Formats: sequence, structure tokens, C-alpha cells
Amino acid sequence: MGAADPRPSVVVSHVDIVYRVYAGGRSGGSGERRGVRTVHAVKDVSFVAHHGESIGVIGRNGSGKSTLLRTVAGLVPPTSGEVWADGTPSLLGVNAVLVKQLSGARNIYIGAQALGLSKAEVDEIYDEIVEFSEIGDAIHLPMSTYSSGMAARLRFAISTAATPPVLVIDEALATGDAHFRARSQERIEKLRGQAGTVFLVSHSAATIRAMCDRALWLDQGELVMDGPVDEVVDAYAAAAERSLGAGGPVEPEVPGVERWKGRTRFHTSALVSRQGTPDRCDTVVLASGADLALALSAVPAATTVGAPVLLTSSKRLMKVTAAEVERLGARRVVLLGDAGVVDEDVADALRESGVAVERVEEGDAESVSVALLDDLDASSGVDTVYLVPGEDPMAALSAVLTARPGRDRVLLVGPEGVRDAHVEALRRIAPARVVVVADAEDVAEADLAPLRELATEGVERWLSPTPVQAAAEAADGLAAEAVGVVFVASSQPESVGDAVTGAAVAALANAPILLVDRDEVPSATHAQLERLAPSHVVLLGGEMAVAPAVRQSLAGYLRQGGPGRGESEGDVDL
Amino acid sequence: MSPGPALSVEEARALARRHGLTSLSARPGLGRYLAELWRRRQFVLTLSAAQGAAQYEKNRLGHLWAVFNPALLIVSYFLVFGLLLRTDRGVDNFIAFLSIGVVLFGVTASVLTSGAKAISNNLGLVRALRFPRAALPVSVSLTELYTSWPAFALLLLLTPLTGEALSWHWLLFPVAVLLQMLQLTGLALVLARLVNASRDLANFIPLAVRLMRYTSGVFFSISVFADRFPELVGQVLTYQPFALQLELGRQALLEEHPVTPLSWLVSLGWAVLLLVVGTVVFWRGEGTYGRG
Repeated sequence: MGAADPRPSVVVSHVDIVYRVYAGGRSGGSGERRGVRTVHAVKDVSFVAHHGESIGVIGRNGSGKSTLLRTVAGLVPPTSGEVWADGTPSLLGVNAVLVKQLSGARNIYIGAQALGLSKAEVDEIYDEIVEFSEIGDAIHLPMSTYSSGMAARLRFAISTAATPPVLVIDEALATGDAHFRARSQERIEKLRGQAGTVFLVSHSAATIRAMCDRALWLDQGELVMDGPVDEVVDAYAAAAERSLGAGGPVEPEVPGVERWKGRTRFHTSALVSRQGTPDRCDTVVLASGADLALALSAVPAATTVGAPVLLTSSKRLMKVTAAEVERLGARRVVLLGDAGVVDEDVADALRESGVAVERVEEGDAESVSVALLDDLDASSGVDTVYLVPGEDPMAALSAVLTARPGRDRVLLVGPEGVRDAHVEALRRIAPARVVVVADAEDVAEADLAPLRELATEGVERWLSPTPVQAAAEAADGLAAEAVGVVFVASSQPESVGDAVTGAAVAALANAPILLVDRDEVPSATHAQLERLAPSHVVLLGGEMAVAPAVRQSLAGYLRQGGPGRGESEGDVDL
Repeated sequence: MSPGPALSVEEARALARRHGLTSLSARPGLGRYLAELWRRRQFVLTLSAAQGAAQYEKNRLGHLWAVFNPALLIVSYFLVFGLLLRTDRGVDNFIAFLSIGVVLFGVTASVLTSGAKAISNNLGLVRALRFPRAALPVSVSLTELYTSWPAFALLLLLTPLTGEALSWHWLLFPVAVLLQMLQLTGLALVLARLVNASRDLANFIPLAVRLMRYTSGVFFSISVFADRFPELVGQVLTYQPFALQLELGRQALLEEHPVTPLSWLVSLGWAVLLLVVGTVVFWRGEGTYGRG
């Protein structure tokens, strides 16, 4: 925390901001009710900011934060009251795109010159801006082709390159990966060191705590509190909790980034299936939520018959699960494991609802995973078979995410290694390749010898893959143009359950699935998201699996609107 | 900690003044506004050049279209008005007459159309950066100048081919273009403010442009037709700025149209009037642009 210079950099005195919105009555009815509504967005706000200060602005949606800061940036004059500032403040809004149809390079010149730099000065810092924005050769493409994360990085680089005396940042840091966030944080610190003043609007209390030394709390346009960041943020958090009661904080909606979550992994599973499988399915695979490796290993085989994989409680058939099986219109349910794995009550409840139940009850999980191939008639035309230790759901996740729909399968191997059943199954399947996702301790070298004769292209080991990396590499094979929706799941072992049904749904939809950490987008995932620029992201699992801040930042990768919206230029009509 | 008692308006004002802060709430005086605009002249030039270049970048033939477009338009006008409707009465060199009309009015139509949308087409800039907004309508004119020089070059090549002799008054052509651009900039400033205040008005712009296209003598000689109308109507048709823009271009390039000082003086008057009115009108709206 730098000692604040006592010299003021911004003086805001009794500012009121009222703006008019043109309300077009869109909802039904005959005559469209069009009226002008006035919104009193900011009410009698006063404060003085000093050089070297970094001020966070918090408040609920619609509390007037952004409106106030647009005025501080000199973009919207207040309706009454006065604002003074040192020099020309620079606003870094999350939605500003400068001139969309022009290249990033041209926008650098336009933006920096609008901020008051001369052409020669821009020439000097041009390379630095490009380098900082990490946009690379795309700098010569029109900005309309950028993902919003790229656009945000470029804006950040432009706005801060000129070392503005007052920098106003509106949620811009929510976009971009951890790496870029760290670099921009550094740059903001530098700016403050040079006696600049930084304002930051953010939903995230953590971001404000990390980056600011002072905070303003706005509620319904009024300044409720102004003081040291921790005091203000604590008070705000306490008030937010009180007003929301026991329900806990409500996550803000993020357009374009849906979250599919349920109370338990079973609820999540049923919901993901309902949202992601619009059509009827003849066959449904039902797996116990207690053995996720087995459930995951069933996904590639189930995909071959177009079957979703649902998780069920092993004790009873939950209502959501029953409802989803019924909605899917399944005639056949394949139940993984014997009565010890999934209770007979579950099978009975299913039979009562009128579906045929086929249990795959070949003893332990490994045998079940092998037998399932026959059961689903999924043992022909196989390219690669992944052998995964049955007690390692993360290895299973890596394998499932890597397996190509229709062509690859995943089989479990137990602690005693490759068994006769495996060899027999592989002989029948005759895959081109076998990949053992385990080291020599889990699957001994000697076990591989009989397999080598079966796989025409050999047997290889894949040692300790990380699911994040595996998912990113699998997505790398997809052309960006072919991808609309991208599924995102948690990379955490305790949240694997949320990914099971999602993996099946994604495979059926031929959509990529990528993994994120609870609080961060890992760099491999970041690179793929950036490349794919999805039009839509589906997040699998709740806030404990993937934090709201990450959901916010995922919005930064969304493809921006269609290409150019300018109408035909010339007007040569008669 | 409560926000504490806020400084009174006077105290705040004194504090700001003591530390040399500039006011962001008050609209700057006209003088300071223009000085600020002048300081951003490089920005205006960069923006104009970039938008000009972007116009043709999408096409494979690129800037060649800056010549093809007016050339094809001249041909089609000639087919319709020269051969079919025969509006060439009283005009000796109709091809050159028509070409000047088509090219110069094309500039007018384009500046008025995009000038009206100068703010709404650049909301990204307006919402992100603080600069005198007049830079946007002004850059519309400059963009047009930037993209039109191939068409002007076409005129200067085509005219001698139609039998016109080179003469000293060709040097007046740039002056005619300059006056036209000044008038159009003034109009763009006015239109940009009007359309910003009410988007609906944008719907009238194409209509108005079309009306002017038919009445300003693009493809017929006003002096020939004006005789049929009462004196006043004839004068209005002749001395309204759009007709004068074409007339000045023709006086510069065509022998048939002798250079008449009165036309140039009236046109200069229009340029000053429109530019002053446009600047003041636009400046008074500063602070409302891009709101809501």
C-alpha cells in the first residue's frame, strides 16, 4: 500500500446523475407503450481521491457504480454537482471495442491518439502495446475477429500505455487468464507508483481486496461507506449476507456462460442430461455415483449407441433420476454393477416405471467395464483402447476426455493388473492401439506382453496425464469454426462427479470439454478457449467446483457478435 | 466508517482550483473546445485515414473501386438521363457535365449519410475515450476526402477527353472541393447532433439526400429549367448550397460555365455560415453524445 500523496487527483462534489431510458413496451399487448423513464442512478455522491490511491467501488448490480465511474472518466457529465480531475482520465470498460471493423494495429493508433498522445509517441510505444496485449500476429486482423478476452487485453494495453493520471477500470480484469491478470496488476501498481490514481469496479470482493487500499460502497446510487478497503468490503459482505438470508449469495448471471448445477451430483447429472440431451434416447446407462471411474469408463461405450450416462444413488432411485429416465423415453436402462454396487431397489423402481433393466453384473468394476462393451454392442471398429486403473478417477477422466467419440474405448484394470478377461476382450475388439494410463507399478510390464500381439500399432504407456492438459489436447483437434458451445468442468478430484454426464453429453454433441481450476483458468485451457472463441459456454457443476469469478472470466472468451454490422456503405441507389 | 461530512461545493471548488484540476462536469467554453479539438488533429487524421482505408479493404480489387464506382454510376446515369430521358437540353458537353454532377454529389450524399451517424457508428470510441466529440463528424468529411481523390482524378482525366481545353480556372477546382467540404462538415455536425438526440430522424436522411439529388442539377441544367418558375423559386434552386457545389465544380472545369464571382462568394458565405452554425450547435450538445 503506497503512502497516499495528499494532493487530490479527483474531486467529486455533490454529484447527481439522472439519465433517461427509452422504454419500448416489448411485452405483448396491442399498442406498444413507449415511454421515457428517468433513472436516478447516482445521488449526491462526494469524495476526494488522491495521487497514488487505488480505490475499489463495490455495490450490487444497478447500484450506480459504473455510471459514477463513467462520470469520473469524463464521459458522461453529471446532471448536477461537479467533478474535477487531473488531466484526461482513461476509462477501461469491459465492453468498449473502439472501432470494431478496423485492425488492432489501427485501433492502437486511434485509441492512444484520442488519449492525447502524438503519432510519434505512439510509434515509440507501439511494440510495447502489442507485446503486452499478447495478441501476436492477430494485431493486423479486424477487432471484430477478436475474442472479447483479446479485445479487453488490447484495450488494457492501450489505456495504460499512456500512463494516464487517472485510470478507471470497469470489470476489465475479470477477463483474461491468471497470467494476464498478474501482469495487469503489476502494471496498475506501477501506475500508482507514478502517482496515478486507479479506480476499479468489480463484483469480486477478492479482486478489490487484492488491488485496492480504499473502497467506496454504493447502494441504490448513494455512497454508503468510504474507507479502508478491508473495513468497507467486510461491511458490504456482511450486509449482503444479511439481505440474502440463509440462501447464500446469489451468483450474478453471466450472459453466454450458463451454469448447469444441482444440489447433489445426482441432481447435477440429471439436470445436465435434461439440458444437454434434447432428443429421446432408446438406451440410458445408469452408474453408481460412488464409483466414478466406472461411470466415466462407460462414457465412450455408451456414446456409440447414443446413450447418456446418468449417475444414481446406489441405495434408491432418486426422483430427479427417475424423471430424467422417463423424459428421455428410454426403453432400456443398462445398470452398471451388481446389487452390491447399485441396490436392487433401484432396478425395481425402474422396472415399475416400465423400462427394461439390464444389469451388467460381472463381479467387480473391471469386469463390468469389459462386459459393458458386449452389452452395448460396442466392441467393433475400435481404434484405441485406454486401460485405466479402477481406483483412479482422474486417470479415467483424462482418458475419457481424450477418447474420440465412436472410435476409442476405456477399460478399467484392477490392482492385480491385466486379466484374462481383458486379453479376451481385446482379442475380440482388435484395436489398433492400446494405451495404458498407468505406470509399471499399477500395470506390470509383463502384463503388456500378451497385449502387444493384439494391437496392430502397439501398446504404449501414458504416464500421469493431467486431465486439464488432456482436455486441452483433445480440443486442439477441433477447428474453431466448427465449435459453437464449449463445456467446462472442474479439474478438482472432488468434483469429477459433475463431469460424468457432461462428458457423455459433450461427446454426443461432438462439443469439446475443457477443465478449469476452482479459482482460475489454467493456461492450457486458456489457450484453447482463446483459439476456439466459443459462442456459448456451459459450466458443469456448482460454485464450489468452479468459482463465480471464473464463470465471469469465461465470458471473456466468447466470440463477439457477428462480423461487422455496418450496412452497405455506398448509397448509389436512385 | 461513514462517508463523513462532504466538502461543501465552495470548499470542493477551492480545493480543485488550488491543485490545478480541470473540471469534467462543465462543458468547456467554445474557444477551449476548439483548442482541444485542434490538439487532437492527429487523432482525427488517423481515424479518417483508417476508416477510409477500411472501406475498400474488404474487396479484392480494393481501391480500384474508388474509381469503378463513380465510373459505373456515370455510365448508368448517362444511359438513363442522357439517352432515355434526354435531360441534356441546353448542355453542350453533357458527359463532362454529368460526370462532375455525379462525382461531387456522391461526395455530398456520402458525407451527409455517414455524418448523421457519426456518433452512433462510433459508440465504442465514445464510450471508452474522452475527446471532443466534434472530432467524429469532422473525420467523416476527411474520410470522404481521403476516399474520393481517385474519383476526382477520374474527373480531371475524363474532362479533357470530352473536348474541354485546359485553362487557368482548373486551379479553382480544389477551391470548389474545399468549399464543399467545409459546408458538408457544418451540416454533418448539425445532423450528428440531431440524430443523436433522436434516432428516428436518421430515417429522413436518405429521403432528404434523394430529394437534393433530384433538385440540385446533377443530371440537368438548373438554369435551363429555372426559367419556367417564378423568379424566387429559380433563385433558391440556383443558390442553395448543393446546387452551388456542382455549379462551382463545373465553372472550374467547363468552358460552357464561365467563372462567376457571385457564385463563389455565395458559396463562401454558405461555408462560413454552415460551419459556424454546425460547430456551435454540435458544441452545445457536448456531453449528451453516446448517453443512454
